Formats: sequence, structure tokens, C-alpha cells
Amino acid sequence: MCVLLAIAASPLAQASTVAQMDFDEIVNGAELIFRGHVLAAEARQQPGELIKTWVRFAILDVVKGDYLGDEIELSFLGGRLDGRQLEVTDMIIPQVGETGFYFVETLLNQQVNPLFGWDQGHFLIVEEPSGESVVTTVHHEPLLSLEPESTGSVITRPMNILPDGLAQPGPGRLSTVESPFSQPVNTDEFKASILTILALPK
Amino acid sequence: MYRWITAAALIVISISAFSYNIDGAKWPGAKTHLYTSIPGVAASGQSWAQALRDAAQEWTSKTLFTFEPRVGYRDPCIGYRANPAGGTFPSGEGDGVNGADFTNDVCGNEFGTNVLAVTLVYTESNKLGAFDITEADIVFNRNMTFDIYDGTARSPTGTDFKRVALHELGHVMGIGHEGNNSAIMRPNIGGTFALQPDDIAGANKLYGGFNNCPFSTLDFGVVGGQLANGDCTVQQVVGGGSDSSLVDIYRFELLQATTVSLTMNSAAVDSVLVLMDEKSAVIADDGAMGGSCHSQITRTLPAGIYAVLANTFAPTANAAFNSTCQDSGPYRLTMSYSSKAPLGLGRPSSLNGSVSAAGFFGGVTTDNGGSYSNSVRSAQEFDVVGRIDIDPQHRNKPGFLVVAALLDNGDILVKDPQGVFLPLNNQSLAIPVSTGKTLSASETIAVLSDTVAARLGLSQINVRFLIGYGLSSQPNELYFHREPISLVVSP
Repeated sequence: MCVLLAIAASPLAQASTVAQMDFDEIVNGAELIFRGHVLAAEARQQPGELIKTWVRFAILDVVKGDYLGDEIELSFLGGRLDGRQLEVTDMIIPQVGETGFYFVETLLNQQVNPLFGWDQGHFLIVEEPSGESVVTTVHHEPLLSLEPESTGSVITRPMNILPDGLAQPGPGRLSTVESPFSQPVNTDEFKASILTILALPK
Repeated sequence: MYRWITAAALIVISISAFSYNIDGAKWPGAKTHLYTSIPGVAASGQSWAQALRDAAQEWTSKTLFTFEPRVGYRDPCIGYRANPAGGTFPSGEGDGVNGADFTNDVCGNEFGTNVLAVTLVYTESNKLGAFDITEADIVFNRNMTFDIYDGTARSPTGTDFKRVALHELGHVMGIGHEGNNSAIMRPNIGGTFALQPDDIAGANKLYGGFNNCPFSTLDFGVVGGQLANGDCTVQQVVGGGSDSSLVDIYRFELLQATTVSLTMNSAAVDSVLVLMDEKSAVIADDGAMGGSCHSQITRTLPAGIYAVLANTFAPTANAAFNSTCQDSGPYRLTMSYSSKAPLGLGRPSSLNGSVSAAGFFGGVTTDNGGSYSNSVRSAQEFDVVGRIDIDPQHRNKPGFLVVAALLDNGDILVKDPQGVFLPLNNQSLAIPVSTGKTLSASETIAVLSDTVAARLGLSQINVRFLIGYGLSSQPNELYFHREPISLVVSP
């Protein structure tokens, strides 16, 4: 099934720290999108720099971009060193052992958070009891696909990315109400959605 | 008390209808400063600095936390970068100053696409299984468009700076995102532009400190207690963290600067004492190091309200450290003092609710009034003295003085006119008068004189004395004090 990702937020929606973006903005804006597994995370502080946590990923699949290596290391501002901790509020640093889809904004610049839109470019892959791997937000909220309407399926997420009172179920909208037709999005469908967006004329 | 430095686990605490997100990281003393003088003015005509001050004031006025705005500008990035030359400033450990500004990047790191603001928070692990925030700075993305307004989520003139500031200041305080209820701490901005009940409840839980748990009033002297399942935990006191050790809480008030000594004795509990101020900032702690199960703190404290946490170690830490002491069981908590003058004995009270301006003072002296305490050895000679500054309206009127002793076993003794302590006659409603006299401005009462406990066959005793007075014209009214004169005799 071709799943058209339509997790675009209302134009009024914005996170407090990072303004909310449409999913296709995130897909198109990311320089590198990969499915990966976090192998290690280590906080360091280089002279002239702030504390950063360096996260090393095993790359399982490159969905967008030209990265050729088997591993990649990304730095996230903040971390704990010797009992003191620099915390960047709102930022979620990938944890050792997690597997997910990671949307890297750029490999050229030192960024506070290398993931595009911070948590908007950070998805987890969770294995269900059935053995199927499904995709959730980094907040462990399931992505759900709805039965196609006129233009195809849409994916909904809970309203944490919608401002108060703006949850309006429907195509292109986000919903807190699970459709009776809903089902979790698996990794193949998620990847296919990304590729679909990338194939659309810009 | 947690014996090791540990990471603070993120804990979502749900109480009643609220679901705020706190993990125990907080500012000691429930306050911090904030330099607010961000240059510039919004399109609406309001200054950024005033909007930031307004946001800070909103948290201050509606919660237990206090922002102390300071006029002045401080670069929020100073101190975060490690000095290439080594140990000189900046060390990379912050500068201890909380600043805010619009910047092009986050102290040398790109904001990234659509990032509005970033709050950098430095924390240090503490002994209560959580983290103390030591510095927080806010950088607003200069490349984004902001304005200042109430109402709808977005204006054509930009994002509302004040509600972003309110949200970031919540992070500065140590509050995480709220995912369920209406709150300024929701991860997204909506039409909410003021603190909501969930925000306030979260802040007050985080900074409620010892008031998050039941507490007992502590007087000078000895109390017995027991740490047992069902007691409060340090996690509840600090509003998060990883310390699940049991804790009993005692609150006391000092009316004058006093050197206070606290001792927690137990044959069973691996004792930990924590002394906090009124805002639950830790003043001192003692973890019974050195193989003993006992712990002790001595501090000279200014007048004020304090709390003592009778605590132990978290079970896993305890088991690894001292196999002779446990993480629950009975204990005795002793509070003693030393002072150059008799202590004030709390606010005046009366049997029938009459209001007075009387003052009550008392203490135990072993050097004829050179110094006062409540703790003596059984072989020491001591006096117990009291003084009443009689209410001006009661002076020079016929009246009476009363002296009573409360023993640990519940017995009450009263001093008769011959100076002998006798059991209180529970059958009589009359106030047991010790001395009848015309009341002067200040009445000095010799409660016990030249006493040596060992001569009375006592090696250890805990007695609380009360003194009071009344007017002959009001024989059923007695003016007395709330905090007793404590006497603790030890071998």
C-alpha cells in the first residue's frame, strides 16, 4: 500500500522551541535520512567548545543522501561530564540501543541538534509482539495510517504537535482520535512514504 | 540520601488532574536571578526586556519559585566554552550568571531550521539523588521573527516572544514538557499565553520541598520516630530524582540566632540527617560515615523556619555500605542548642484565647547564666531558669505564676508554692499556682536550681518545662508559651 504521509501540522502549529513543520518539509529539508541503530554515546568537551554528546550510529539503510559509510557520528549539544550536566531543554539525544529513522539537517555545520526539526526528524522503530517493526515518534506515539480517502492514505499522530483546540481529524490534519481503520505504520511503509515525497515534483 | 552520584531518571508524576513533568532538577532555595536587559523593542512597541521581566514575574507571583530580575545585560554564552589555554576562565563550566539575548547561533552552534529559542541549563548532581541547577541561559533565534502580543497562536508580525519566554523560563526552573493538559509547558505553542493550573501545580510540586510531605513540629529535646514503609521518600520531597529512601520530616522555628545540634541515634537505622531552610535548600547533611549508625549536625542558624529530614540510605546503597545498619527502623532525634542568652519560647498563647504581648524565655545553664543549653550530663550541676516579660496591661496587678514539667512517659508535674514538683491533679479544674504575687514587668522563675540529676538517681531523662502567669481577676485564664524549655540529661 502506498502511504501518503500527510502529517502536516496546521499552519498555526508550532513547537515552543522549534516551529512545527510539514512532514514533506522535513523530508525535503534533510540532507541525509537513514535508518540506523545507536551503538554508543559519549559526552566530551573540546577546548573552545561546549559539552556535546557524540552519538555513533550503525547505518542500516540510507533513504536519502549519498552517505557511503557503515557508521556515522553526530554531535548533540549538551551532556553529562564528571557529575555536571549541560542540558539543552527540549532536545532528545538518541539513546544507546535504539533503532530509528534519523533526518539529518546537514553534515557541514555544527548544530545544536543535527536532526531536522529536532524531535520532528527523530522516529523510533519498535518491534511489535507480532514481529513487525513499526514506527513511532520519539515520544513513543504511534504513527497510524488511515484507510485511503479520495487521494490515498494519511498518517495521523496524536495532537502533541497541534496547538490547543486545533485537532481536526481528516486528510492532511492530525488527529487524537484513532480511526477504526487505523493501523500502525511499519518501516517499509514509512520508507516508502519518504521516497514518495522525494519523487514528487518540487 | 543517595550515597552515589547517579543520573536522574525522568519521572512523570501524576497527581490528581495534573500531569506536569518534573524530574527533581531544581534551583536550591527555589529562586534564581535573571539578567533581563535584552536590547530592542518589538513591533508592538513593547521592549523585549520588559516582556522577559513580565514573564519572570508571572512565574514568581503564581508559584513558590522566585525569579529575581536584574537590570543589566549579560551575554548568555559566556563561560560555556572550555578555554583552549586550560584552567583559566572560562572553564567551560558556565559563569554562574543567567542571561538572555537574541543571538545568531547557540554559542557557536547553528540553531538549525525553524528553531525559535534554546535554553542551556547547567546542573550538578546532589546528595539527594537529583540535580541542582547552577546556571541557565536563554538564547532566542535572531533570525526568527518575534513580536509581543496576547491571544491567538500566531500573528503576521511574528511569534509571541512572551509566551516563548514563559515556556523557556519554565525550563529554566526545571519543568519539562506537559503532554496532556493545557499548559504553557506543552511542547507546542497555541492560544495559551499565560500560566495554566498545570504549570503552577508542577512548579509548586517541584519547589514544595518538605511541604510535599507530612511533617511534625520539632522542639528542643528528644523525640522518637520510626522509618517504615509508607513514610515519605526523598523523591517526594525533592519532586523527582532517584532517591527512594524513607524520610521523616520535622519542622522547627528559631526566634533568634542559635547554635543548634541535631543528633539521630539508632541501633538499627543507617541514619542520615539533612537540615533544610524554609525554601528546602539543603544547609547541611550528615550520613553517619565511619561505621556508626548515628549522624549529627551542628550549625549556627539565623532566626527562621527550618526542617530536619530524619533519613536513611536508599536500600541498594545501604546494603553495599554498612551491613550493621538497616534502611528502616526506630530512631531517636535530639535537638539541642547553645546560646549566650535564654531562648525565646515561641509566640504567646493562652488557655481561653486571650491575646497578650507577653514574652517567654528560658533555658538550662551550667555556669550561672553565662551560657544556656538544653543538654547536660547527669553529673553536672545545672539550673533551669525562665523569664516572663509580662504584658504591659497586666503589670502591677495581682496575679500568679505557674511552672509545669512534662515527662516522656506522659506524666505532668506542677510546682507547688513550696517549690516541690507534684503530679498534676487531673480532678481539679483550678490552675495549679506556684507563686502568687503582684506581677512586675519581668518575672524571673527558678524552675530548678543547683540540680544534679545523678544525685536524684537519674542518668538519662528528657523533660519539657512550661511557665506561665495569670491575673487574680481572671483565675481561669493562663498565659503561656508554645515551645517548652527543654532539658535533656544524658549519662
